This record gives sequence, C-alpha cells and structure tokens, in this order.
Amino acid sequence: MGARAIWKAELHLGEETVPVKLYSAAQDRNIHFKLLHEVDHVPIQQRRVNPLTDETVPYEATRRAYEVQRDLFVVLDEGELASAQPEPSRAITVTRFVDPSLINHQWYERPYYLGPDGHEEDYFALAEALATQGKEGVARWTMRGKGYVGALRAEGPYLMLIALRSADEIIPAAELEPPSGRALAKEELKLAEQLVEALSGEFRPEDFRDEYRHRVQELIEAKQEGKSLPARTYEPQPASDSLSASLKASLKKAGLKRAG
Amino acid sequence: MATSKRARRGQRNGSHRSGGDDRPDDMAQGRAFWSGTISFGLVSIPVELFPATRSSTVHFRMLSPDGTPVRRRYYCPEHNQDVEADEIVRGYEIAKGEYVVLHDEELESLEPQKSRDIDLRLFVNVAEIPPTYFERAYYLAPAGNSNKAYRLLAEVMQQTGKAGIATFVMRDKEYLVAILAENHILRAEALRFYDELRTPEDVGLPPKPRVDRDRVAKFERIIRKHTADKLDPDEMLDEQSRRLMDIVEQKYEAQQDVVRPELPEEDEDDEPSTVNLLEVIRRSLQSGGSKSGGSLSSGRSGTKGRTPKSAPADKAAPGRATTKGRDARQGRGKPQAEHDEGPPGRSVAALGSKTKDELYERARSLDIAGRSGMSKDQLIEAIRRHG
Repeated sequence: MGARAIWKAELHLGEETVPVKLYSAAQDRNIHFKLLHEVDHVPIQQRRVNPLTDETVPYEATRRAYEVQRDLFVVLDEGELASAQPEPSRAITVTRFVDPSLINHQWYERPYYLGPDGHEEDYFALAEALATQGKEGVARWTMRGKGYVGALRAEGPYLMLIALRSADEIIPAAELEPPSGRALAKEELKLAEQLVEALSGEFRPEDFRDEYRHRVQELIEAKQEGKSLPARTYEPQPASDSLSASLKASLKKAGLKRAG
Repeated sequence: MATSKRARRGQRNGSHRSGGDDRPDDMAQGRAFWSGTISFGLVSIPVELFPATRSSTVHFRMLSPDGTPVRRRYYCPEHNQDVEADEIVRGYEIAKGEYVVLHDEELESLEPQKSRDIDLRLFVNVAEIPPTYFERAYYLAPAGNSNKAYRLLAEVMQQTGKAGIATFVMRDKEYLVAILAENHILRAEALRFYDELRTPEDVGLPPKPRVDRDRVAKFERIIRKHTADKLDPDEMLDEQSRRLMDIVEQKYEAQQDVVRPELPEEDEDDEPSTVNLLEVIRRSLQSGGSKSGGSLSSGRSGTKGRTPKSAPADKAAPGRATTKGRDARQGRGKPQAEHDEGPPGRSVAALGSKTKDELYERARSLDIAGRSGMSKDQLIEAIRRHG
C-alpha cells in the first residue's frame, strides 16, 4: 500500500507556496529479461572496448564527445558538462495558467501525482481552484539534475503534474503538408461518418489488455512447468478495393442500415 | 517556433538509439519503422509509421582515451570471451540464477494473427482520453497506391474530434493507440494500458478534507491573475541541451578539443549518416498514394549526405537523426544489442540525464538484478531505490 515519494518539492504560485511530494503515476509492467550466453546460460556482461586495440576501456577512462560532423568530435570535460546543469532547487514554479486545449497531446510525456506534504488544506484548495477555473498551470522544475516543463492539473480532488516534452522534441502537424488528391466524394464522407458514429463509444481503458505481455507471461509459466503453448499463425488481410462498397458493408455489419 | 544556431550547425540530435527506453523511437532512422494496415470497418488503409517526436537531449559519445569511440562487446564471464549477438538468448529469472529461456521464435509465435493490422473497432471523443494516458506520438503516412481511404479517415477524425482506438503488436510490444487527425494528417498516439497507471489509492494519497471556501478563492484569484492565452515558446525549450550545444559550438569554432579519431577499416557500418526526420515524414505523406494525386516532388530530394550546414534554419528543431549504414539490430528483441554500436547519449552528471550505458554501469556496480533488461527509466528507478 502506498508508493514512495520520489521527490519533495514546493509549488510556487505567485506569492503562495504549497509543499508537495511527487509520486510516479505510471508504473512499469514490461517483462524484463536477462541476456544469457546460449551455451551455458550465464548472464552476459558488456565490456567497452577501443575498436583499434580491442582493449577494454574502463568507465573512468572514457571521455564525452559530441559528434559535430561524421567522425569529428568536440570533447567536453566534466566541468563543462556540469556547467550546463540547472541549479538544484526544490521549487516547482508555475509561470502561467492556460486553457488545457493549448497543450497538444504530443507533448505529454510522463505523469506524476503530487501529494500534500503538510498544509493539506492549501493543497486541496489549489486542486479545487484549478478544477473550477478549468485551467492548467505551466510549471518548471529541476529534478535529479534535469530541467523539466510540465502541466499542473487537477485530477479529481488531487494535483497532477505531467512532464511535457520540450518544443525541440516535437514535430508539429502544422509543419507537415497533408496528403493531397481529388476531393473526397460526399457520399463516402457521409458513410464514413455514419460508420464512425455507429462504432462510437466511451473510452474505457480497462477494456484493453496488453494481450501480448500476458501471453509472454503465460509462456514463461508454461515453460517453467515443462509445457508448451499452441502455436498461432499469421493471416494477412486483403486490401479493400471499392471504398463506398466497403463502407456500406461495414455499416451493415455495425448493425446500422441507414440510407447512403 | 524558435530557431537556434545549432539548427544551422546541424545538430544530430535525433532519436538514434535514444539512450534507450526500449521504445521504437530508437529506430528513428528516417525510414518508416513499421508498416501495416488500419482497418476501419471493411476498409483497409495501408500506412507507414514514423516517430512524431525526437530526442532533444544532446547525445554524447564515449571516446577511449586516444579519442576512438568505444564499442560495446558482449562478454561471457564464464568463458572469459566475447559473445556474438546470435549466441545470446533471453532468460526470465524465476529464482536467483535460475532462468526460463525464451527463444525469439517462441516469442514471435505469441504475436497476434493479424499483427500488421490496426483494427479500429471503437471511436471515442479525443477530449475524453485523460492526458495521463498519452505516452508517445507517431505519424501515419499513406502507403500503397491510393491515399483516398487515408484522407477519408483523417477527414472524418478531424471533423468529428474522434479517435479510433485499437491495439497492435510492434517489435515485441503491444501498443494501445488512439488514431486521430490534426492538420488532416493521421497520428497514432500510443496510450498507456490501464494497469500501467496508478490510481490515487495506489499511491496512497490522503482523502480530501473539508476545505475552506476562502482558501479556494485565494487560489482562484492567483490563477486568474496569471492566466495567459498562449504558451511562451521559449519556456518550452530544453535549456540544458542548448547550453551544452553552445559550449560545443564555442569549442568547435575555437578548434579546441576537436578530435578526428582514426577508425578501424571495418568500421564502415559504424559511421552514422544524417537523416532529417521531418523531411522524411514530409516526403512519405506526399508519396503514399501517388497515383491519386500525391507527388514526390514536394519534398527535397535526398535526405542522406547533406552537410550539416545545409539544414533548414527555419524550423523549430534540427530534426536530425543519426542512422546507421546498416541496421545494427541483430536478431529481434535483444535490446542491448543496439547499444553495441550506437552512440550512447549523455548530457550531464545527474541520474536523469545519464546515458543508459552509464546507468547500466552504476546498476552493475550496485549488483541490481535484472538490469540488463531494464529501460533507462527503470534503471534510474532501481538505482534510486538502492539508495
């Protein structure tokens, strides 16, 4: 019960500060393997070598370099690397509040819960105020030597901080040109809309399971007991030729027989 | 969006072997790293998938004392010798030192029958999907000889504000995706699975106490006072990377600590060539379905071999990915294999910005179990937990 906080911080909003603890809201469910030498199942290690001499290079002896052109490096020393690091701080500084629609889905990277660290009333009052105002805060902070930008938002009665990717990391759709072609037929658009409508429902994430991961888990368990799982085969899908015929047939299948 | 000096300088900051969180962005080589079919009712839409994000963290390579970039070798401590990738199997540790061995063929057999199919059987309002679910974005470009069905789905998604939800398997991992459209371009937003997110109860957050109305009003005033109608683009940048690139540029201009190491003859395949991901996506969007009106001409001609200085300076970020002359993946699903030749990234000394390589090293010295199969984030978490 209960996760360990990964960081203690202070939310700074204008003149106000609210002490908080940060918890990861995402958890790893991946199955992790060790690499083994096939002949004796001994865990593989890695060694770092100088390809010219084939000698092992100890970690302490390595240098960091940025490749400015192919095979041309600028070497940075520890001091230079450290100088780029942001100043350590406990502050999560909210710089502005914006309409959530300004934050594109592409930006979201990693969610964290913020929990109160004393001063519970302020914590819950802030969450309530964010909810009533329908706003998200843009926040900046430095954690483990790395600078972050995030969206501060209310999640039910609680506060959540979602780390955002930096602008450099995003390829915005606006910078791309959509595929072009002859105007779409009105009838096809209408049919497609009807089909989407017929297949529309609520987002219920619990309905989707990581089937593959569960099957890997089953395989591991079966092998542990010396059994094997039945094999499955791959069946390719034929491509559809007539768009409106396919749409009509799909609509029928979806249980709706509206006139095209 | 902001233009930086380093864009012109041609920073190769693409998501090459991105230091490693086991996601397919490490395949961001400018080519589609997955192609398949979206099924929408009985309509099939062949598509190619490209990462919509790139790593902004400046990637550093590790050099030997003589300036030669280090290579990684697999090594068996028992045999006291190097091991090739095809001599390696994956083991799931069931007890200390005891493994269930899984072969690639066995894992492949677990893939769904229609592993190349993204079957949209449910559409939801995009606004209904909580932001916590969004993990990573991929652009979809039309493939095959017609882009009509692609454009149709994009149009409908955009007009209705909906997203098609589906799961599919790509490279040893199942993905839950929301397929939506922006600017008439389809995008697959990879979502977390339900059990990958914690609830407030899981975390152990306390129940809400009675909260004084005045206190809420105080924060409401602060929110109103500091409300803006747009984001500050400068605020959304990765300053740390910028500072590092400034240092690199200064030193490069002064020709200080610039090394051109001698590389071994057979090292050809280790030479990265640059690819502009943005350009590749642009061309793919136009080239798919070329028979029905798209054209190849809108993109600039090749993406390879352009000198760094010719990078377009008008875009938000350099968009360069480093790719290999040869696909370095040897055998499927041996995540570590990629690090053999890939340039490990590194920015500064803190955990969060260490390379996976360095984190792995630290994890090894701490004897953290299962480290070889861990992603970067998991390594950080494990090291942190270790104290």
